[in-house]
Amino acid sequence: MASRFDVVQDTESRDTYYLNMGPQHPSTHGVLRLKLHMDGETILSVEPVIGYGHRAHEKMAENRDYLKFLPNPSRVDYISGMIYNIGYCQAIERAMGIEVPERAEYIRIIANELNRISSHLLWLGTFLLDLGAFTPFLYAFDDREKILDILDRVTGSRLTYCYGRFGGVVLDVDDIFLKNVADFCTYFKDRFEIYTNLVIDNVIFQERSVGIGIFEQDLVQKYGVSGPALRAMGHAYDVRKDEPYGI
Amino acid sequence: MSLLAHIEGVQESTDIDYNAKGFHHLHVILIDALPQVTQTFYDSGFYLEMMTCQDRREADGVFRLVYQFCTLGAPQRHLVHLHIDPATEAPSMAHIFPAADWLEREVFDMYGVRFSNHPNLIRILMPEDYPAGAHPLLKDFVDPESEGEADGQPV
Amino acid sequence: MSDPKDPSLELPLVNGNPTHTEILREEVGPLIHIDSLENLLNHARARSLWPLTFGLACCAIEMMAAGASRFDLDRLGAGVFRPSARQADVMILAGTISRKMIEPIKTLWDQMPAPKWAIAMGGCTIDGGPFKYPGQYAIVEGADKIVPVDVYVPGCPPRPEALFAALIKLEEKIKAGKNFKK
Repeated sequence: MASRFDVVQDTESRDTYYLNMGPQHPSTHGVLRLKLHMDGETILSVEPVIGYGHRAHEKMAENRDYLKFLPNPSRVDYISGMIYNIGYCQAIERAMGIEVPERAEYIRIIANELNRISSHLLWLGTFLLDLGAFTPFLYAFDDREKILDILDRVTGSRLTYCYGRFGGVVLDVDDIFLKNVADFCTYFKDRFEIYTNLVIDNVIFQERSVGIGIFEQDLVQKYGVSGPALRAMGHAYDVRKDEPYGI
Repeated sequence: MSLLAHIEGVQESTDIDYNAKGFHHLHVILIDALPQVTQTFYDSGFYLEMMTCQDRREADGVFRLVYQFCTLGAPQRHLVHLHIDPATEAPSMAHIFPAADWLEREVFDMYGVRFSNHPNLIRILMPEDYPAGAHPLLKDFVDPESEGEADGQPV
Repeated sequence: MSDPKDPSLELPLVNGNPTHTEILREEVGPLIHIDSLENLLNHARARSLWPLTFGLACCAIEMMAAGASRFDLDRLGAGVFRPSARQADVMILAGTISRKMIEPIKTLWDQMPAPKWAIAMGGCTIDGGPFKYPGQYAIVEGADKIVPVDVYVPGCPPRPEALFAALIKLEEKIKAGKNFKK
């Protein structure tokens, strides 16, 4: 029985066909389905199909108290779960006019930025895994484990955090945490050299990624590009500087 | 707000306390003004940040479409509220902001609001063969495929 | 598929003569201590499980971390993640299963050749986990509604060590010769 996930011959042209890059695929990182219209190995057009990861967070939010919803934001973007969790807390605090003590603000920012680094490390590892390089994946995940150890000791979770509460964080940090963070920063700065030599300056990596997938400038307005993609397009926009939150 | 002052159909524009709400300006408009309002925002360098809908049938008897426009640099965030009757078709903004394509599909999928002249108005998050007329984020939604664990009651 | 009487595994009796398994046991038995060919195969299968890359949501990240260098699934023989279901032994369902995903999961499960096993990783695949509530319209509450699951791993997400414990438990199960018939 032909399922709708099969390769389909294009009825209008002999040379092209439709290929389904299904929701399960090592490169789709999570579940993304791409319906490709192909001519040999060249992709003519793509129709993405999403919804395979829909978990009804909005409906759950409508039916729960603010406090009961706390575990959910972390699962929305599980790779940077701390940032979403704190972000949700900040939204409620802003709406209700709750003040956060300064110490908690600093702890939040430190935890957020550590989470951000671990999220970017995960991207680096998996991006290179897709290009075929297995070693940077191991290096990146090893460094990521160090961050996860630091955060695990304080929050109790490795991946999906529920650390923020309305008005601060749930547990205070001690001097060992601060020492760990400082040691990690020193350690990680030295690792940049390894990543530069292994990845950034690698001629294969450059040939495969430089000049590929260039965005035109009008995409910023048409689609609302944000984050690293926006900076790659030449706009000096960082939400931490342009629209600061917390400290 | 002087940006939209010249457009007919803009009912009110208020400045909002950014520290309390996170955005700067709120506009309430009529449905006929939407294309012109959106074009004005596009010409002024805004991008469509978010678009969603609220089911306010119990409170006001309408759906409220919410459009959120923002700029780069020092962000100026404008929210546009548009109240429509649940059965009305809203004009699609996908020809001005292509980002609206999927955002409108999501509003259609979750609330049942149809958009005229939309390039491809089909379900985006639910499976394509999910029963027509079942729109999950409505307040009185009952899951047609539930196995009885929710007792068939709307939640 | 581990049933010794499974006809696809052994050659049929020809005119009442013993099968190859019994000949093997007779000839080689004095030299090598094996109970049956099936037992040997089970021990080999257990120590060389090839998982299918099937990360759906958050648990996928912990599965990747389990495969990375700190926790290293490869020392259990399970580090070779196969992208194609036709080459995989075990399907680690890592992450929330949405209703839209039922058909692909069924297709993949059918594509996997027997003997095959399934590990349900994370609370979402056990019974819906944090997303289980009356009125949930988007997910399937539990992976065992779609595929027969052999081992359940609780946690949200379970630590990589928990995934290890699951794999070791699955290995014990395979070595004992138990799995679902197709």
